[in-house]
Amino acid sequence: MSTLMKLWLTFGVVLAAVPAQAQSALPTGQDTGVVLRRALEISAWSMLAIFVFMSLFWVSTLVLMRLLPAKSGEK
Amino acid sequence: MASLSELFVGISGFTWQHGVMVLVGLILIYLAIAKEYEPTLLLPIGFGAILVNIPFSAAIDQASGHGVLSILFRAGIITELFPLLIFVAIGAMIDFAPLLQNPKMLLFGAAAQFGIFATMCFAALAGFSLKQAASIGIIGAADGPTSIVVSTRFAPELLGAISVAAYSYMALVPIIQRPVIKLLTTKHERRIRMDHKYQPVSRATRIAFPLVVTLVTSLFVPSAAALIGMLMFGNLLREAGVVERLSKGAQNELANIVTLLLGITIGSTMVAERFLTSSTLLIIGMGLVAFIFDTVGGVLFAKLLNLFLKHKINPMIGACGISAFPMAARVVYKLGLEEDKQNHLLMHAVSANVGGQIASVVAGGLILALVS
Repeated sequence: MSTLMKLWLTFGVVLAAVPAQAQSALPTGQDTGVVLRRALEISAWSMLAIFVFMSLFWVSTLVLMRLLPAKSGEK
Repeated sequence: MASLSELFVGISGFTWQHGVMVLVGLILIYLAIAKEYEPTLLLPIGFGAILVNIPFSAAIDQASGHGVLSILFRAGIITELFPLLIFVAIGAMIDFAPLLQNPKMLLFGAAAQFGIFATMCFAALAGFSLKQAASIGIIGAADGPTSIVVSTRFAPELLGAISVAAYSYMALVPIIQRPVIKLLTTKHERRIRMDHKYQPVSRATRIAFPLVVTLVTSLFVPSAAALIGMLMFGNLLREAGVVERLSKGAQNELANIVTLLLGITIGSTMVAERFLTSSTLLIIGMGLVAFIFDTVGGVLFAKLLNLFLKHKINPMIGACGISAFPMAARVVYKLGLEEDKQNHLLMHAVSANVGGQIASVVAGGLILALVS
């Protein structure tokens, strides 16, 4: 285990001793189901969109490499 | 006597929470100096954390007047100026040529953003609001400036913990990725060799690429225009070949000055009352989850592609799709050599890693657009 991991674990133990008043910083009172459903929706659309963008860049690069070939001497 | 007691307000106001935060600051400085974990950021962050956890510190706003770190925070973080300027510097440092020679590697950049969204869902499940969950998830972009931009916009109260987690785990990429990659791949898969055909890239292509990426991304996701635009502007300075002075200035002076200011200002958000909460611990834990799931997403995507490809891809390459450059590429290169001394995966690994840098910025822009 790395030093940083050990340190974070130690920090965790210290936090466990934090009084209940500080623990209340944990968000409460929200409808977790609604938030989770929205998070899942956003995640699905975002992953799809990222793949579409990367595919577009892939195709654009292939077109650029074809349209603008390297001249002799270019690396 | 009253004026004498004023001399001791710092000591009399010092609580155990301040002590813990000073210790956290000292630990970050130790890690930066002794272990060389992201020293350019962890050192100023650690020092900033110490400065703001002195009771009545003049470094931050008090009833008696403005503090320099609060001024920097308002000027550089709230406005998103510092992270965006860092992008100009990063863009000027990136050589996209390996990616242009092998553009299919961009897909691994996409797959390795999986950790962002998996973590966002975990954070939602843990009870965080959608905006907080998105800010925590973006740690998985493995991209400090993107994490700062998103969390400043959506959850400024979590900025300190998110930034520290993002930069800490970037330094830990070699430790996090190795076991995950080994767990998900067989010895046979790790030995798969991949040919690299060298293809010269014209100057015109190098110049056109940042322009195309900026236009395509910004037209479809205008909220990503600042992030991707600044990154690609920096790259255009590098590739234009006519503004060498500006390119070098972005790579050196701009990068150094903004990194210094960004680090100490982020450190100033680590005030005991906001940092010493169980939310911080959850964020640190979820940051680790984000990096693990990024690696899982990349490796599994490569394995999926192998079901259909005649010339197999070494699935370890998928793990390079995260933005942490060049750590991820180095991990996979070394793992490849450990399995087979003749298996040189470096060029493929670097291509995927550079692709990950673009994908992480796009992911940040999408989150800014979709989370409301």
